[in-house]
Amino acid sequence: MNDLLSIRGLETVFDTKRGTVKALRSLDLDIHKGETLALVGESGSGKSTLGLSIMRLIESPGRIAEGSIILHATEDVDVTSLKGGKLRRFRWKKVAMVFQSAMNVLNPVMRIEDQFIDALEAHDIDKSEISGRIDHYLKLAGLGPKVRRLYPHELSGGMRQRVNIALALSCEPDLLIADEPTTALDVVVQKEILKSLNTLKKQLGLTIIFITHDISVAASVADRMAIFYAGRIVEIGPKEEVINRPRHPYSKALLSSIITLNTKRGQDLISLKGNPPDLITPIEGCSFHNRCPSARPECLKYKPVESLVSSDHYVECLYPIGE
Amino acid sequence: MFAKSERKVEENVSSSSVSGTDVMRFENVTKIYKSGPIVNYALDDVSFSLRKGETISIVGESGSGKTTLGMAAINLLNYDRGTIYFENMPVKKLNRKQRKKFRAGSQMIFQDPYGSLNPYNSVYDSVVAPLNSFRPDLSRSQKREEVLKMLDKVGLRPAESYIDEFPKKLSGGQRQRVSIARALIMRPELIIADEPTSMLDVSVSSTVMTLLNHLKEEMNFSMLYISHELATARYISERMAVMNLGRIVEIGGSDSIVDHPLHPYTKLLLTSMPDVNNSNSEEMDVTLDFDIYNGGIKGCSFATMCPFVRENCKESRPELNKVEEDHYVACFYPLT
Repeated sequence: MNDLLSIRGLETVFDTKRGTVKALRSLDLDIHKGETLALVGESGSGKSTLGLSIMRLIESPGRIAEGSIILHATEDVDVTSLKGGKLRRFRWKKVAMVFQSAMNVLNPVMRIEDQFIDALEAHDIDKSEISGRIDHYLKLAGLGPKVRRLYPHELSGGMRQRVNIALALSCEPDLLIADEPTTALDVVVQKEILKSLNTLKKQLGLTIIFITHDISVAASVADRMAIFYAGRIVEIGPKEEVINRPRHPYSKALLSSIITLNTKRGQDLISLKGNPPDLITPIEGCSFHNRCPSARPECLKYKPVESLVSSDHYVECLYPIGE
Repeated sequence: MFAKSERKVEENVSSSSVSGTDVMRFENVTKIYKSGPIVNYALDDVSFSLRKGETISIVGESGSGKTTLGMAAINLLNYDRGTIYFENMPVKKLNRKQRKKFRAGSQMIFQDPYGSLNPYNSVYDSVVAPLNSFRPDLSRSQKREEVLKMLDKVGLRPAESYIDEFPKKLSGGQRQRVSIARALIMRPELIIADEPTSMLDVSVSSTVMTLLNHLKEEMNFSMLYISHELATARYISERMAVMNLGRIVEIGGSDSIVDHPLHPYTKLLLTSMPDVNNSNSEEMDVTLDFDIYNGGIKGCSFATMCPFVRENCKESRPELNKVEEDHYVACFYPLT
């Protein structure tokens, strides 16, 4: 498999007064070149922490305690050991990020084009090239050149998110991490943004990591889907597989708890009891055993290991559904 | 350009139901926000009624006026024109005693459970607040008993272990349960729920929706459910009103609206919803144009974006018309 990024044994932790919170617990993940991988999970599951870890944006009290993030470029680089200028060039030129709060990312007192110039100059793009690039990427994101002279407050939420996407792509990264890019937007605009992301991916041969809590949104953009729970990926596989044949009880519960247009009015929804485990105390056995409808005594004792259930579809469960 | 004729509510929505059973009725309610040259109709001649025991959802995108509508309904907002009736009494003209009844009988559940509970108040303090205002006759122990009962009802069990907690110890879903308990403790006739689950995780959100559904059957209150999201709206409500730029463009039974929308805007909302099975392949070809202030719209509010627009759509405003039983649409050329 042609991988762009290989993550091995990644542990990102946060030191708090109560103890050390293990937000990611020895996480392994390969990201294939040219795919859209959706990271799906609830708040606190570690999906955003992974995005920030790849960007090396984890700040104190957080730190990457263990593991490696290998970027397969002309030569393999371990992102976790990058420093100074190398780290600066890695960010935005290799991996760029689009954040959820479109409102807060742009500098409110700078015109849109100046924000581009800032980013492009910092990444040593030739001055003569800058203006052309701004127009080009704004256009790709579906915005006209008129936007260049505007301030962020003059743009709608959807337009601002497009500017963020254009900005993220302007240094031509290999990997785009989109962290809940449409969560704050209306459905109509959301659909437009998702469509442009798909088009851009095809045009530019991008690899996209799409972080979301909304499994329906993930379904409409992803090639592969990874389900996060308590700092680990409990199931990963092709989108259709995970959605139609979920093998982990948590994935199944997550899928059956969403309300769709076809949900019958007033019917009781399947819901999970209890809360995810505290990530300070070491977890014995399976992290999901206390909420799992099909837990057995062994689940408390033994840690499940990732196992292949069908082509490219892995699940971390002692007793996967359907066996 | 801003002169709008006060339209009479003729054969339309509010008079279509027996008004004696209405909990709340909006008649030609208009709220205008002005800022310099910009004029925005947050509510533009809105009329509808909420029948006793029913849930109606108000759906629309941000800026459509749905939250303004909720604020007006609970009398937290002064509107410019029109009348809102609570149990057939105009809310603005209630006397002291009636206003007290209105305040006790209409309660709100807010969107953000992290912002709507005072962090310095325990669960007991938050939930007991309405009793302190409206039931001075109750003794301390009776109040505590009521609060315990209510916490149990909203699924915070055992209630004894939650009653003295502070919000920071509670999860988002638990906090939202506390605000539901606070809203319901006066056994109100009317609940206004403004996106009560949009800040919660999916699995938590589904438990809160199930809970609301059970409570509404058990306690028989009427509910205005405000949401940008049609799936939960259909799940919880019998009727649905779709808003676009301050106007109700379609109103009717939730099933008939979702299954065969009549207004192109409703259809746009439905086809834009992401879907797990990607079965939603139908697409509408619209020109997105959100750069409008709706103060100057003479014709249909959706005319600038509508793929089926014709000349008269830009000239005159379509009124809500009955197309089938309990299904009204404000469109000259409704979808078939």
